[in-house]
Order: sequence, then structure tokens, then C-alpha cells
Amino acid sequence: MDGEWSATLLLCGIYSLVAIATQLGIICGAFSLAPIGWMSVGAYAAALAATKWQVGGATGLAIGVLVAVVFGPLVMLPVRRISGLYFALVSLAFVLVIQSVVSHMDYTGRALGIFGVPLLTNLWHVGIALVLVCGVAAFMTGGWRGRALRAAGQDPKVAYSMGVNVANLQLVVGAISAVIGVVAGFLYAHYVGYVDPTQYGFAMVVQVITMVIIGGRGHWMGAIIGAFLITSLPLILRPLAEWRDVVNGALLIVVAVLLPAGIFGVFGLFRRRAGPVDPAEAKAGH
Amino acid sequence: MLLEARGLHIAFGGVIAVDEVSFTVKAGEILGMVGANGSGKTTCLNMLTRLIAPGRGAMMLDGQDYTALAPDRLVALGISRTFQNLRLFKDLSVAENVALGVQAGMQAKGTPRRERAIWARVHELLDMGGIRVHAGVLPASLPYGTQRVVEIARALASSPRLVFLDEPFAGMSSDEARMLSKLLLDVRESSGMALVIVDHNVEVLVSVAERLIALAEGRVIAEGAAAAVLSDPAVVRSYVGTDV
Amino acid sequence: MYLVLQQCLNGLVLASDYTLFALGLSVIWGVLKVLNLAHAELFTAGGLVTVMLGANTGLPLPVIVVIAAVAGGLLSLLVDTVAFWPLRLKKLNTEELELTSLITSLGASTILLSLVDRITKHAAQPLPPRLFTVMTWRFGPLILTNAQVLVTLTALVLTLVTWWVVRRTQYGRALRGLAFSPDMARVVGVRTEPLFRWTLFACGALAAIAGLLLTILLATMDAYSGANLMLKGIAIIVLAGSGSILGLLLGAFILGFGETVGSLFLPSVIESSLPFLVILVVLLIRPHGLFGESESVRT
Repeated sequence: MDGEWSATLLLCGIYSLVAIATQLGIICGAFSLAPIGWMSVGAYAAALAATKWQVGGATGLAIGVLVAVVFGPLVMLPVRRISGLYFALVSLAFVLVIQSVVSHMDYTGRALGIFGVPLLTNLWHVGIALVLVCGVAAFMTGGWRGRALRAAGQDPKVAYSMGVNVANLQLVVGAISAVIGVVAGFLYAHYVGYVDPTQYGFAMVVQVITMVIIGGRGHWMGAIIGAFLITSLPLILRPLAEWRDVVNGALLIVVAVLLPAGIFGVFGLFRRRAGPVDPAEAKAGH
Repeated sequence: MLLEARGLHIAFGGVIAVDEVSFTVKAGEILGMVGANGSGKTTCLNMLTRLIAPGRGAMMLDGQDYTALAPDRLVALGISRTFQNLRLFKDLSVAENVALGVQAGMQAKGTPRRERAIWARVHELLDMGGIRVHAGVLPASLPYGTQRVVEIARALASSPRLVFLDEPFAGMSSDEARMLSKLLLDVRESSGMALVIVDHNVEVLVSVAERLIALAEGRVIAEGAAAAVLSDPAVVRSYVGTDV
Repeated sequence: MYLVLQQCLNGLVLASDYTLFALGLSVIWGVLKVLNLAHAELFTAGGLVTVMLGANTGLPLPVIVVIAAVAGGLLSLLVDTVAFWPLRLKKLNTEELELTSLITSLGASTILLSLVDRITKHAAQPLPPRLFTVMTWRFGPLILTNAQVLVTLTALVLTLVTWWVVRRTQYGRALRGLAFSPDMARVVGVRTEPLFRWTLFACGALAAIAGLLLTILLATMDAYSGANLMLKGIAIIVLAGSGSILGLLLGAFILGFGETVGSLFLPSVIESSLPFLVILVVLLIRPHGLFGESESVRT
């Protein structure tokens, strides 16, 4: 495969991971940008493991995942009191505080970041991670679990009265999406070979929001569509590469106004919302 | 006694919304709750379904005190409800809304929540309510009366022992109301669940409820057979100028 | 000691600057329930117009101020037409509107930022010296420039004017009604759409004037002049809650003094994450801002 294409494909995969992590939060009613912060945690775990701690990559990943499992739910906690835009702002603040902390600590190399992360990530790693994460996302959003999750996202109060433990679900999603974020950051750091604070700031937040919204809010497949589209757009439409931000911005507006369910929503119309239909009934022309 | 409410009391910012309300519901009984706007009916329901915590008082189902239970645990006890201002999940289809009720009931009973079993039961319920044709659409595209029926189907889906219906007849045409009351009587007949119905439409309410309880300013002012409650001077007084 | 005094002075100037930036942002947030991320680019546009007209024409500064204000206002209307007006037609509920408009304004902001970046050729543009001559006054060891005085006084005047318009005029009364509930305002006879438009125009003009002043203060501007202030603006309006000008001033002062006086005492991590910490702490403790009125929600 052409080097440029395989590189793009790999980035598409990594962005898909963060986008799915963000999407899971959105589905359960928490518009959280925290996964970008977790990405940064994963990347710094990779870098510190390789340079400061002198342990293997796997150990670095394990430490990052551990931190995510413990603190992921904690970052999700405020959603009980604050919803919608305000919660999005809280999670944004979380991301930026992390960015600010790592850019002021000698231990994390301040604004320069950390160089010398071994270049290990290849397409296989990303592919396997993506398949696993899709599996988790499909499990969380399918069947009764998915209905409970979406109900919690749409009207927590009624969801409670339907026997859904909304708070617990959201904490679980907080942990899962944090872990996914850490994995994405870990893979990214081992792909580009260094970390610095600017990688995981407001620009990345904008990028991920753009992917999720354009791909389609409310379904993990939407996140993947968005991630692939936005990441490969400059490559597909080469003449447009330098107008990339303008195109992204315009797409964002058009989709938000005209296709609130995003590109995936166009296909979503064909989802079997009525449940499986009896073959006999279908034949009778029901 | 299926349900026993003892001395329910709550105040919001110094205003007493519900004041020492006690009453009981027998298994399989249909109890109507009447009262003017602001008499505390919905607040009562919100406490009885634990969406708000009672300031004082106790609530028992079958002798089990559930006053301190979390709202999501009530389905397991066999309590479900509908809402005054239609609260269907707007991005879930009619069938999916009902499926949520079905799966909650299965969880309560400990049966595995398999999709096939869930959908079979959903379709049964949709047939019963005569809304099978709407299975795949989003609730917002349906007329108001039909949405009411969907919400009631969702509440019945968990096979509860006790259902609270908050103004189920509101905004319905008299035909729709008649059909709904027949549906409710049928459901009670076949499953033996008890219903507590809050409504302004006293005429329809009397046609289904065996017993009435009247509230005014957060207190129970009359309780008993429909005719006796409606002719009670205190009830008449509280209703003067309203839609009786 | 003199250092502290000097930093207090600098803090005052910085706070004025933040106030100017946040004024329009806060009004739009209160009235339209829109967190207008493109506000940053309206601010930048003010600076851009100043630099360009200053370099390519012989127009005097007061004329440029007027042109910048009008340009900012028109640009704001353009953003509205593309990003917010279609959403108003859709009659979304408040939460949906807040999130969707955040996204459309992010789109508008991305486009404008990229355009300005192209126009400025990805570089900082100096303020043409002919527009403004800096004078420095010394009071003992304290230094004060006429640019600083200009910024502070303008901020004071524009804040008072905004407060007066919102609180004391017929227009402001309609505006507050609109902020509470557009439907209700319509019922009592407020023509909502023109009111929205005028508000957007005014806020765009405010942003552009603020951008112009910052360009004078720093004698330079670039594509990110506004974007760099956006998070501070958000922190300020989160702190203030919707519709409180007093809260806005307080927020601006906390950030301004935190960065100047605070830099003498606080570790640099805290100082640089101050806006985000403000957002975090305030929202976690008082979700509706220190000065916002909490809404009661019915089941």
C-alpha cells in the first residue's frame, strides 16, 4: 500500500477510537470531551514508560488504563448535576487543565514534550484495537443495554422510573470511554514518536466534535464514518487540502442544520426500529 | 393491602404541597384521585414513585417499606407509572419505548433479557393497545391520544402490580377516552393489577374507578364510593368554578 | 511593593480587555442561549480592519473605529444568518439549541479563523504607527501608557452603556423578556426577529471595537487574537451566569488579576490554567453561575 494512504488509514483508525469514546458519552446523555484528555494521559503514559520509567510499552499501557478505570467515572460524575452544554464545558476544562499541567511540569517535558517514543504502532495494532472497541460499543449500545443507555440519555428521570440505573450506566460509560481514550493516545504516541501538550488541546477537541457530528450523533458507526471522512478528506480532495478548515466548518454547519443525525442518520432510516418482524407476517404484506 | 401510604408530607420552599396524606389501595383495585389544579395530586404520585423523596411519611407495598428505595428499584417491586405531560423517549420508536418497559419487567423477575422474547412481548402489548401499526415510528409523529396509549402500554409492559396513571384521559376525545377506559378494565381483568388514576375528567374516572379519593390543598378531604365523594360538600366546595 | 502595584495596574488593564471581549458574548449567551464561538473571530476582524485600513488608506482612527464596528456588526449578522437563524426556525428546546448552536458556531468560527489566517498570511500584522502614538507616563516607578488608559476607559464606558441599555431602556426590557422566553415575548407583542438581529449586530460591533482596542494596546494582531481569549470569555460568562453584568466584571477581574498579580504568588501551572479552573470550580459548585438565577424544573 502507498505509504501516504496507509498512514492516513492508521490515523483514521486512531481518530475513530476517540470519536467512538466521545459518542458513547453522547448516547448516554453526557456530551463529554474528556476522551481527548484521556488520550493525552495515554500518550504521556506511553512516553514516560519508554523514557523515564524504562518499562515495556505494555506496562505503560496498563498503567494508563488503570488510571482511566479509576478516574474515568470520576470525571463523569458531575453529569448528575450539570447537563448539556455546561457539562461539555466542564469536560473541556478537564482537558485543558491536563494540557496546562503537562506543559508546566519538568517531569513531562514542559511545552517541548517528550521525544524518543519508539515507533511501534502499525496498522495491525490499530485495526485490532478498533475491532475490539467496535465490539464493546456494539455490546453497550445494542439490545436492552442500548435501549437503556439511550433512554438514560434522553430523559434520565423517566429512565429511572423504567428501572434504569442512569447514574451507574453513566459511570460505566465514563470508565469505558476513558480507557478507549487512553488506548488511542497510547497508539498515537507510539506512531508519531513523541508527545507534546499542543497535540491534545482545543484543536483536537474541535476535530473530534466535527467527526462525531458529521458522522452522526447517537451511533458508534457514525463516529467511525466521521473519523474516516474528516481524516481522509484532505487526501481525497487534494485541491481542497489548503481549504480544509473551511470545508470542515461548512460541513459542520450544514450537517448540524440539515442532517441533525449526521451522515449515518441517512442510513439510520433503514434501521429496524419496529423489532424483528415475523417472516409469515412479512410475506402477508404487512 | 397492596399499597399503604402513611402520612405523606412535603413542602417546597415553605409551601406545603402535600400534607399528611394517607390512603390504601387493595390488590386489583382501581382508585381514582381527584382534586383541583395544585391540590397536590401529581406531587403525591411523584413521591409514591420516588421521583421526589417524601419529607415525612412512609410508603409500603405489600407491607414492604419502600420509602427510602431509589426510583429505579421500584419496577422490581412491581410499580410503574405514566406522566402528566407525556414523557415518551422521543428518539426511540414506539416499539422501543414499550420494549424498555418489557425489559425492566424481565430484569425484575430475573429472566434473561433476550431480544426475541422482548420483542414477542412488545408485539403482544402493541396488539392489545391496537397500536401495532405504529411500532416502527417515532412517538412525535402520532396523535396525542395514541401517544397516551403508547405511554400506558410502556407502563403496563413490566407486568406491574400497581400502576400510577397521571391524567391518562387528558386531551383525549370522548371516543378515545371510552376506548382507553375499556382497555384499562380489560387489563385489570386479565392481570389483576391495581391502578391509581389521577384525572380531571371525573365523568370518565367514575366509569372506571371503584373508589375515589379527593384532595384539596394537599390534604385528603374525602374518600370512599364515587357518588358519596362527589356529593361531599367539601369536595363540591373545592371544585366550585372548576370543570365538574 | 511597586511590582505589586504595577501588576495591579496591568491587571486592571487586562481585566478591562477581558470585559470588552466578554460583553457581547455574554449578551448573546443570555438572549439567544447561544455560546457564540465565532465571537472570537468578530473580535479578530476588528483588529484586521484596523490594520488593513491603517496600512492601505489614509483614514483617521475615529473613522476606522466606525467602519470596524459596522463591519463586525455585519459579520455577526452573516454568522447569524448561516449558523443561528436556521436553528431558531426549528424551535428546538433550550438544551438542544445550546448544543446545536455551539456546533454551528464552531463551524462558523473554524471558517472565519481559517480565512483570517489566509488574509494575514499566517503572520502577526503590526499596527501602522500613524494610527496611534503611544505616550508613556511615569509615576515614580509606575508606568502607564495612554493606550492602557484608552482601553480601560472604553471598557468602563461600554460596560455602563450595555448595563444601561439592558436594564433601563424599553429595548432592554424587551430583550430580557426575550431571554426569558421568546414565545412569551411574542405573545406580549415583541417583534422578536428584529430584536435578535439588532442584538447580534450590536454584539458584533462591540466585539470588533474590543479587537481594535487590543490591537492598539499590543500594537499588533494575528488570526488568533480572538481565539486566544475565547476560553477566558467562556470562563467569565460561566462565572457570571447568564445576564449578570456585575458577575461579568468580577469574572474579568479574577482572571485579569490572577494573571498579573497572581503570577507573583501562584505557581505557573495554576496561573495558566486559571480560566479552566474557574469553569470547573464554578460549575461544580454553582451550575448556574455565581450570579445566575437557578431555574426550577418541573417533572
